[in-house]
Amino acid sequence: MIDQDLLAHLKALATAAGVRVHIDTVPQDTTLPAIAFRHSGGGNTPKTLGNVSLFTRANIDIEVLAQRQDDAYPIAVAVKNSLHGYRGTMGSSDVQSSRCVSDPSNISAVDGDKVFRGLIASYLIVHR
Amino acid sequence: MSNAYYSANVGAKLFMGASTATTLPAPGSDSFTEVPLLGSIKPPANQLSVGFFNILNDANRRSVGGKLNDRTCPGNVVADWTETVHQNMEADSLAQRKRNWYILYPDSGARRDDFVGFISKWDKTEFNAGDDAVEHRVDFEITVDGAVTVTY
Repeated sequence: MIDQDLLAHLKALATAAGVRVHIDTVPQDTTLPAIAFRHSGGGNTPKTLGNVSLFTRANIDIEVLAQRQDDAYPIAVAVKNSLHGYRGTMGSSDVQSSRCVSDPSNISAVDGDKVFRGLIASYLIVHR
Repeated sequence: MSNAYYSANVGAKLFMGASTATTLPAPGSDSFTEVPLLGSIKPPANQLSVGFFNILNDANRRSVGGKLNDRTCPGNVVADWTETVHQNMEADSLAQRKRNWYILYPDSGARRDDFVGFISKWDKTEFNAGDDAVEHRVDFEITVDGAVTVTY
């Protein structure tokens, strides 16, 4: 399952976010910086006439949340360096290609009286 | 009205006969293997040559049908070189080797088109670093030799 494999991969990068990598959203009161990622599309898996599933395409948005942009940027760059051009085994997934389709760009979020800064980037991972 | 129409996108199969004898056995006496990882296959078309002519004192154009045109079955497979069938198809493409073939339709009656043919095209798609990963495919064409026998 690419989600769990990507989760383990991002944790293993040992960025300043450490193991604070989450699928979908960062839990409340998580120490920052942290990473969250989610599917934003994809799944257009071609099949043969015999109904054999071929490569799966996963569009994944990866957010890096921090108190300041300066803290988020090195993490986003480390993630991009790791995933852009990645090919090979990732856990139980066989990644055929991985590409950063949208470079990290600024985001901000407000939770009550807290303001988070961060970066979001989009990746296309083709795997089986 | 019958509801026995069917999908053109899944379930059709192509089978390759084992015999490569100079005189091929009848399909019922041959053994067949399904072509694995078949991406597409187009059944042979019935297209006649057509002649047009005029008759004196008749303003209407006339026409007559002639023989069947050349018949081919283009298709593609997702290449897997561990598959003996794919290896054999590639070898056949260099040897003008005729075999029995049949296409099995996905309809409830399992329509079957039997014919003799040979691989007349075996065209591997390019490797291209400019694209995201796609399965490597081979475009092929089977040229039909003789009649197509349809079993409904």
